[in-house]
Amino acid sequence: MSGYTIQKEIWAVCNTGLGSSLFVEMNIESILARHGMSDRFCAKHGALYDIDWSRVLCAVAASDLAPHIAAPCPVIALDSIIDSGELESKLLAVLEEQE
Amino acid sequence: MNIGSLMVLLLQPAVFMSVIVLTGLLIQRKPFSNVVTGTVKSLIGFEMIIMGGSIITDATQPLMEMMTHGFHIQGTILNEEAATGVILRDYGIEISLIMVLGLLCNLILARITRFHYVFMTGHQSMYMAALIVCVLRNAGVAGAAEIGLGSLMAGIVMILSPAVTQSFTRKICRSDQAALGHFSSFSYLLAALAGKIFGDTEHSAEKLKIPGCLSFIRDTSVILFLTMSVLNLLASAAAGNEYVQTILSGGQESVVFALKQAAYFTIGFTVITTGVRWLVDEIVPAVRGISKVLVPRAVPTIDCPLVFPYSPNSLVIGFIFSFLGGFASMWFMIACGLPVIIPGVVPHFFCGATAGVYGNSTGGTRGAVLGGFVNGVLISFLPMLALPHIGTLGNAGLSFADADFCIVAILLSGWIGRVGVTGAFLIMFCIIALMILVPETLTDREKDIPWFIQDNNKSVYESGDLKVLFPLGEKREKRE
Repeated sequence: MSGYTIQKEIWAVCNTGLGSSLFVEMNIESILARHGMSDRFCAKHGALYDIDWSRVLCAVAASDLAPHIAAPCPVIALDSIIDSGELESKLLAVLEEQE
Repeated sequence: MNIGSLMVLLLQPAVFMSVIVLTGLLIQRKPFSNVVTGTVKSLIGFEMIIMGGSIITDATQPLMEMMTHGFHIQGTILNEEAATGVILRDYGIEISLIMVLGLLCNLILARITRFHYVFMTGHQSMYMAALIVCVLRNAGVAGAAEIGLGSLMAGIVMILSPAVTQSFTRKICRSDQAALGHFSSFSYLLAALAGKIFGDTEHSAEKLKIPGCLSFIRDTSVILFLTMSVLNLLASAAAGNEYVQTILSGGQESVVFALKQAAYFTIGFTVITTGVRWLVDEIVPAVRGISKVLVPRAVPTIDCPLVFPYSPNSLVIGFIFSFLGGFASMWFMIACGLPVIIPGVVPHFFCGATAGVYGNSTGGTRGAVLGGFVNGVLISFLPMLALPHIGTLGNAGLSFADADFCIVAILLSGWIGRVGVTGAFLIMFCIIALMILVPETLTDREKDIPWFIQDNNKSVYESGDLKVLFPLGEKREKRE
């Protein structure tokens, strides 16, 4: 058993944090689970304007919104929020870089 | 604690909802910590929505009084979030039940009909449940009939709304893997048709240059505060400083009072959306879990940002022209002495932007402009027509904006008025029967292509001409 580790946060972002970001968050979670990374990273979702960026590892948003996010972390821009493959490849690239 | 007080506790709307969530989490066999956080968060989320509702009521009442005194009009503000917050306080249990049973109804219909849409836009289904309860109470329907009728109606709308726009959504997203779950599908359909008839795909909105200084309009709370400030300032100026100071603000300068009221409205909105998020976060994953087992070829429906990345320019155009359409309609209503609908910036942003994208997809820039404008006019006149059917909510000066909400209100109220509760039940069963039968009979058996193509089955495309129309495997062209 490894000790208690702080999970790094991956945030899915949309305009109000109600609908589409939740969908992306669920996709991120299943990708993390598939690659056995759920213990190190966790997915959250929220609105563009109310995220505390200080603890965020990376953000994920649709490509129309991504340029408007002023975050100190990498922002993954999705051309299609329903394309799980696109999300997977871009997310894994960023996570590898961060490790 | 005896049984009686346990029942009182359970029938507290927030407790009732969190017990439903708790049951769902236990069935899903979630880890202990998730069960605890989920249950508590849904409880607090529910109370948060009610608190937000009372902030909104406090913020709108003086505005209504100022408008009545200053302009002599009875205005109505359009904001789904605010309307739900206000109504949830009175009918919490009914709304929770209709929302949950409506989602179940949606899952069952997705299973037994050929419309495999699973509604995963939780906040929209909550607003729909709130609207349905408003309409049913106004028509004098309560108890078991209310829950039954409401859940069936919610379930049917959650299937038909994505279906209406799917042929265009597929074209925009170049994929059949998801549908649009946003209750203004009727206005998006009209926007797409207007673009098709009057538009010109040669001039796509993406070729335009939109100034970067407009990017603040993406922050909902900022545009909401700005528009509510303008509205409050105009109303307080018309009502006069003296009236505001003596009657409403307790001596505060009218300008300061107006700005504070605008801030309170924005606070209420933010509190409600946060509460809705905390609640919906626990419900949507459960729906997704059930759909994976129950509906083999489920097509998830996603909120309107689904289509936003495909045309960022047309969403700005759509929003601006939708707002203009709303203003034009407002002046028309004032001129004709009709009940006045004040354009709500949040519905105009989301519906207008989405209508812009749909318009652009069929008719380029001209389509986006027209689509936005048509949407703006539609979500002004439909709420006006729906106003008599929503009862007490209308007195609070709030209403639902998006086209599907208004159409549901008008239809449901009309059915109950003409043929009674039993008749309304019969109509709904007929709709369900049609949903099962019609697609079956209209299928082109020879090519095995259903005319409406929402079977999420790749072999269907590969067997027919559709492959040419919608190249599924191909990556869409990168934007500049």
